[in-house]
Amino acid sequence: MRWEDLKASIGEFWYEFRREPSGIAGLALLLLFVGIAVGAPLLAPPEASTRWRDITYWEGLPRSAPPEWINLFSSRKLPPHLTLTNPEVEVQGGGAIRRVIMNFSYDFQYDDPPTDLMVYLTINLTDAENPPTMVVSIVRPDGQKIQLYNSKLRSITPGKRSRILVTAEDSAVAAAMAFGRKYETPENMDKVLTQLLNPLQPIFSEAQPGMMLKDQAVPLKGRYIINVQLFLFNPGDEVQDVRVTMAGEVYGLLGTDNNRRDLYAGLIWGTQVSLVVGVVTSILSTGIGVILGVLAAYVGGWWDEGIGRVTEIVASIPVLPLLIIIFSLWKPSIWPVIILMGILGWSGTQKVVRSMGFQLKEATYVDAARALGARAWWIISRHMVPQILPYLFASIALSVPGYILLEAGLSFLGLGDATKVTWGQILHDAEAGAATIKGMWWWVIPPGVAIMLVGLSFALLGTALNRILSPKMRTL
Amino acid sequence: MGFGRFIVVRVLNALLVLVIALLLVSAIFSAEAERELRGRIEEQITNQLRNNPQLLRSMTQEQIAQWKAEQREILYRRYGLDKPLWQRVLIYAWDQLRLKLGKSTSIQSLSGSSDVATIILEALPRTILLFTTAQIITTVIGLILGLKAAQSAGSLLDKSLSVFALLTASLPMWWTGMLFIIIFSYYLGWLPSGGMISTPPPEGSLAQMMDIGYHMILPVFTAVFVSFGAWAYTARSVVINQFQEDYVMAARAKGVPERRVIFSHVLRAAAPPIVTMMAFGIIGSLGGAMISEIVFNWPGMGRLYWIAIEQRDVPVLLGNTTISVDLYLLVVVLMDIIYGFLDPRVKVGAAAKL
Amino acid sequence: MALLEVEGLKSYYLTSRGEVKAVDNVSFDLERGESLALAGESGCGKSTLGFSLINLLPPPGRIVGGSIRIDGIEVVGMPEDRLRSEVRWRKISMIFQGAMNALNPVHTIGRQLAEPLVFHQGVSWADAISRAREYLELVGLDPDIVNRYPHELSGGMKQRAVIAMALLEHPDLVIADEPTTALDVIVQAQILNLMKSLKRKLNLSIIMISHDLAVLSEIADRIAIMYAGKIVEIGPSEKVYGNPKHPYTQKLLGAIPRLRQKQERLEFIPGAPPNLLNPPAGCRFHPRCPSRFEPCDRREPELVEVEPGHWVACHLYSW
Ligand SMILES: Nc1ncnc2c1ncn2[C@@H]1O[C@H](COP(=O)(O)OP(=O)(O)OP(=O)(O)O)[C@@H](O)[C@H]1O
Ligand SMILES: [Mg+2]
Repeated sequence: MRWEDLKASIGEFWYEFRREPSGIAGLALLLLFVGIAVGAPLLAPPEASTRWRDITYWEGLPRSAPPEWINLFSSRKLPPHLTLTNPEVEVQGGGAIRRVIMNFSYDFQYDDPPTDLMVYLTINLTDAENPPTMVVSIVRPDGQKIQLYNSKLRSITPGKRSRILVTAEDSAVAAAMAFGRKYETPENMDKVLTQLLNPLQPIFSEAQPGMMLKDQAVPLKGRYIINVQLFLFNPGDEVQDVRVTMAGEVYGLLGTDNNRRDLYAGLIWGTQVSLVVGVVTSILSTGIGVILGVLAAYVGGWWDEGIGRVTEIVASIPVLPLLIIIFSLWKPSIWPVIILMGILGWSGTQKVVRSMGFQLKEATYVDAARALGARAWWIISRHMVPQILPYLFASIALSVPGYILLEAGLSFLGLGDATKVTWGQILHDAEAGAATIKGMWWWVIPPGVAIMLVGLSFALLGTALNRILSPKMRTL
Repeated sequence: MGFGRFIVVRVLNALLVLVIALLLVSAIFSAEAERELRGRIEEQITNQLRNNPQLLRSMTQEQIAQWKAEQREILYRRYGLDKPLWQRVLIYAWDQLRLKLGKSTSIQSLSGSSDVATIILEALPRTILLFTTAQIITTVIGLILGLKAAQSAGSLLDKSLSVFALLTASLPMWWTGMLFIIIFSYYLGWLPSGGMISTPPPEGSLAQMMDIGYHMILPVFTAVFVSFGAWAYTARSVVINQFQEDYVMAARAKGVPERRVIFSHVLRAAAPPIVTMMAFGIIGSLGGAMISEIVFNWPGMGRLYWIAIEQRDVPVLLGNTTISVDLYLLVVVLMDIIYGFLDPRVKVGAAAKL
Repeated sequence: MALLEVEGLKSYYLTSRGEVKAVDNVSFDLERGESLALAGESGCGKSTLGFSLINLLPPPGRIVGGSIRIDGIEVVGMPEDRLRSEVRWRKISMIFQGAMNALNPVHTIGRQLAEPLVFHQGVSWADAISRAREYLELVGLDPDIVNRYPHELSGGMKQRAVIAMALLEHPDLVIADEPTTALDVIVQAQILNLMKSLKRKLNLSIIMISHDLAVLSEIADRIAIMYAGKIVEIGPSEKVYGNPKHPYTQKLLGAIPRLRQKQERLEFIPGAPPNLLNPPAGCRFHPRCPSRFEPCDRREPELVEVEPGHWVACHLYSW
């Protein structure tokens, strides 16, 4: 077979491939993952990858929250993590003191109160000594208004985005206690531990006895108004992009881990690493195997003998223990992992290619070419490689899952590239965070399923390729 | 090549691999450890000086420098740093080969010893117990199912086996373990989520053995679940190939009972290729099984790896690697021997290059 | 009574794409001590016929009709365990096509030869092995190879061992399916001579399958020519070989180099053997037949006796 024939046979190959349902399924699955890997910057914020280990980046999210959609399957509706934007804005005054009033509307239809209330804002100050004062209150559906916060914003940095965790303030707790005292029984009030009280507990409950206690309170459903007022004391001060986040108990598509990280973002960004590691390693190891196989077959003699011995040794090197020790002494990073796995993984390909090469060498057209004085390189590239190529594709596809598993295993052991998110690392954190014994299935299941599906897509593709190409190989 | 020679060649190959692996590990380790050791020695010298103000006062600046150099030389000699790097690598590899594994930096054995060999010796039998149990069950189930599927090729059993094998082949064993803990331990509460024995352990050795068995159920089930599909599938392919061999047809034509055809001809002839597959399977799952120990909190070598990595206890890491490599190559050689024993082309007379 | 009587035998492979009619309505007889050669192109159903005689078709093959009587006992429809204990190897044994592969690489020659004796006659392994030694000697091998494994034997030695294996239980009939194809010419001649002498010594009936007619005419008393699952010509060796009647036989003889006569060039039969899934109507050879005429594509010819003992299925002679 020559290159020209190869080109012609691609059409024929595609015709046959289309009739392999498992191959098509594998290809579709693979394209999906490639799409996710390529489109990761659109599907999830890039910081999720670069700042995965930076806990300050994740501060705003709830801790260990299951995905939002579990509400569909449970009668008890948990509040999702919701950020309120686009308030009704009113500005009063215009001289030295301005008052900016923002009303955020929050439709509360859940059985648990939100866990936290946070205000995000950016303020450009002309006089840093004289920051604005912020007042935050909540207006309940029954019309009662409770002020949670009233203080000068001393801790914020001008010009930078800041977060004020309103519910963590003493004023919020005091307001909640005061509100509760109006309706709650004294016995119940005694049971309340102020350190542990969620100030939003009484505020989002019917005003009646039991409202201070999580297990007795009846949620007050309806429309709440979060009222944020800012008093600006300098004429040049500017307020930008104010948002209120009602922290919930469920978050996003895949929930969060115990460090508040968005697992959906991790899963999306992990796709890149997994695919790159699997495919590049596989190409590398298959490439080495093919080169050494062709060399052994074509040159033969001592070369064959020597390469054979090396192959034998490489075949019985215990890969995982070696990688463990290497990467626990060296700083683990993705490219060395790929290169080492590739260097240790070519023995199988070499053996197959060698025996194929020996058969090809005997083929008459190779003899003829040699008799005509063709150079070795010509013979190898024109006659041997095109024959081996189809096998190569199947072999690359079939060896990908193994490398993905190996990389995931290393990451799981805590030997993953610290600058990237990988599925194995997410599972490492899940194991370290005792996710299994806490039943945090949303932390454990998605990365593993992703690993399995990527492996499956390559396995399906590889077996389909093998089925189509192997009868042709037999006619060698 | 006779059986004896075959075994010798295989053992030599394994030893060669062992030496290469240990040299590699030692080289990486020595380069890394050297830097750390030099730093520690400098620190020690400065401390000595600081703790001895009299000495410091009695010497001039030059004298101090000289004194420091002398001390440095003494300490370098004591720690072997005066020798060139390659020599230290060799010494280190030699120590590892002889299983002189040194002292751990933080991990201790149950008996309180910080001797790495003792620590690993405690973990090793537990790994072997768990791994061999799972492996035996996998083998038996895999062979039986593979044979059944081969006998009824194209049947529902056969097809579902292929699909199952494909699905489980890309499943990480350790992740499956996590999943099963959530299902069987967290939600259903049938089995313990991890550990090897209850705390406190039950009275009496029989009760203790039962308790260990109880803790083994989930890890063993996980390992079997993940690997028996692939096993059965390979066994199936090998057996199907055998069924198409002329000598199986011949055995039937001879009027030999079908049971004997299957056991004495099909399975017996399938044994060598199955052993080859087995070797790959066992070696392949050894790594996965070790990682699974972490998930099940099983105090074996895998768990030791986890702790050593978390605590950066390098001597334990190295020792564990050495023993893992030994174990791994032992399996390879063992499989080679079994293979050679089963295949008369190896056992008797002139086999081609194997 | 003839030793073997085959009547209207039909053996089909029931594949997913349809029935492969590999043996279709075949009848013939075989006397004790007689040898019959079965010849025809590759894929015409020779091996299938052979396997049918011991009722051991590889799946999805089935005997779908007809009768096979050996020594007057009906084989078709006989339960498996009786076939095993009474027919296979005791009445009919077989030398397989590509006999090299008929020996299991993991057992010694002795074990494989002795095996049926142990299971049929309840002989001890030791006795059975000593019987095996006798027969190895009979076929001209060193009896000590009972302890050897197949890979330690040459091709010719293996072939002899397989022949010894076939003879061990004194069968009445031996089916030899291309016993010499994989061997070089000299060894081929040796093996054929061995079979000839064994046949005389043991008064064996032999069915010898081959596509090499010249070889067959050497040792066979009668020759049967198969085409697309049917016997198209059967008769005494020298008649069929010396004076072939069926156009197919004539072509077939033209297509092989003759041993004795000098042949100008190898004649080639144009066209491919028919697809047995869907054989042509009428005479199955008619698409390739140089002398076909009007009824050939409609009516199937019957076997007619053109001279004593020489039967041909061709409209040229039934008209
Ligand atoms: N297992 C099978 N399934 C389906 N068809 C089969 C099977 N075995 C044989 N056949 C078909 O039956 C026909 C006869 O096969 P058979 O092996 O009897 O031919 P043969 O005459 O022995 O040929 P050869 O000289 O090559 O050995 C062929 O067309 C073949 O395709
Ligand atoms: Mg045949």
